[in-house]
Amino acid sequence: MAKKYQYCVAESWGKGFITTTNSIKMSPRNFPGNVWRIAANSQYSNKWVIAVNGVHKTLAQAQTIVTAALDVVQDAWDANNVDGESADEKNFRIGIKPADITLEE
Amino acid sequence: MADYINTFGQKIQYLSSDPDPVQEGQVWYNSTSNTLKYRGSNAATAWSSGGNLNTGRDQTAGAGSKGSGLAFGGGYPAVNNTEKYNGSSWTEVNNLNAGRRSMLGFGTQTAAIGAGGLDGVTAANEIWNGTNWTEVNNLNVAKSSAKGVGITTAGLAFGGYTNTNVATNESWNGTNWTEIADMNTARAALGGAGTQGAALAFNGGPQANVGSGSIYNTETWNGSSWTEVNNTNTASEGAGSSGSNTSAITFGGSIYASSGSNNRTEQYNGTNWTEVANLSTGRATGGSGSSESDNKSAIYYGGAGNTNATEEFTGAGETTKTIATS
Repeated sequence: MAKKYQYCVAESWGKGFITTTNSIKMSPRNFPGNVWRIAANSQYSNKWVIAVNGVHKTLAQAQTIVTAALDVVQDAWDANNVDGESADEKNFRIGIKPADITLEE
Repeated sequence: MADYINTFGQKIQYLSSDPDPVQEGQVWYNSTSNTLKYRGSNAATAWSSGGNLNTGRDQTAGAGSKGSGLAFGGGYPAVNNTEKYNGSSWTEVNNLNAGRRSMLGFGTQTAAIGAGGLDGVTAANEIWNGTNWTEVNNLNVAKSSAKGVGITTAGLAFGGYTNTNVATNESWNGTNWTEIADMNTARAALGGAGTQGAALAFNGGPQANVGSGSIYNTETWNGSSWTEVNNTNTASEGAGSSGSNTSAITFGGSIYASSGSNNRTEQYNGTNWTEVANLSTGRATGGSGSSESDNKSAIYYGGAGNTNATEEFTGAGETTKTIATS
């Protein structure tokens, strides 16, 4: 089966990083660790990766980066506690714990 | 190279400002911005990157629009920073008097209200005149995570969290808050759109109510009572929102029971909710503009993890595009 997605690492500088046209043509999705999922088998996507100084990653490499970045965030969430606070009160204070992410091929 | 007049038999209008009204297909030269423009259409909806906030923050309040926004408060611990957006970049301006998060905000970049919020549930209320925040009369009910719509002389604040979810609804006349008819469903971290006399409330969360799930319900306000209308497709809380009560949009948020932020976007046409282009980054409790007139334009900034990212939404339909800048 043909791959639907490809992955790269690129740091967003803000305005202009993803334009409206980029969004329509690549359906970009951002994950922890500055990992971006974009449409596969597309010259347009490949040109965008170059334009944003991105570095292509395999699915396995991208998954490793996302998991490592999530581990940091999840550990910080686990360590952020207030004496006497219930689990629901903690969710209310800092939001729910970031969930694990499995990237798609 | 062929001249436009030889190809189409018409000269291009030379104008000091963009024409109003403007027709689809119209071409003109704006002599002030030195840009050649035309009125075209977007076939698809899309989110694009906006300028990053100077101070990344969760649970921030917002006012204004995609091209002229205002972000204030938010974070954990809470901050009092205020930033304004010009469509490209954020600039720090004068701070709130009281730093807090999960407050409600509405109005424009030059005239806004920031009320309620945390640290320690508060009823505090401040008004922004484009330069400074000034403390004015408090909400009747101290609450966080409520939704506000309207302008600084005619606002509405509904829902929120005290030590439980509330359905309370308060009207602001520029001087005082007055309690009026409650919503049908108590909820916090809800979405909202519209004006004091014609509002829409949707989604929302259970906050500290154990075992409850996020909410689909949508209610419309006619100035005197709330009526249930069709639900959103996805239940969520802490989503961004803007528009009117007949043309609204909601984006992002989280689903309390399953954890994790989502990137879904839905548009409301006055009857039904329809899923459209997703955010590139799934996130909850960001800030969004309150003075967008419909569901074709929106902005979402900050959010969980104290991110500083901004995304801008462009809806399908007519839009003015720049061909070239000289």
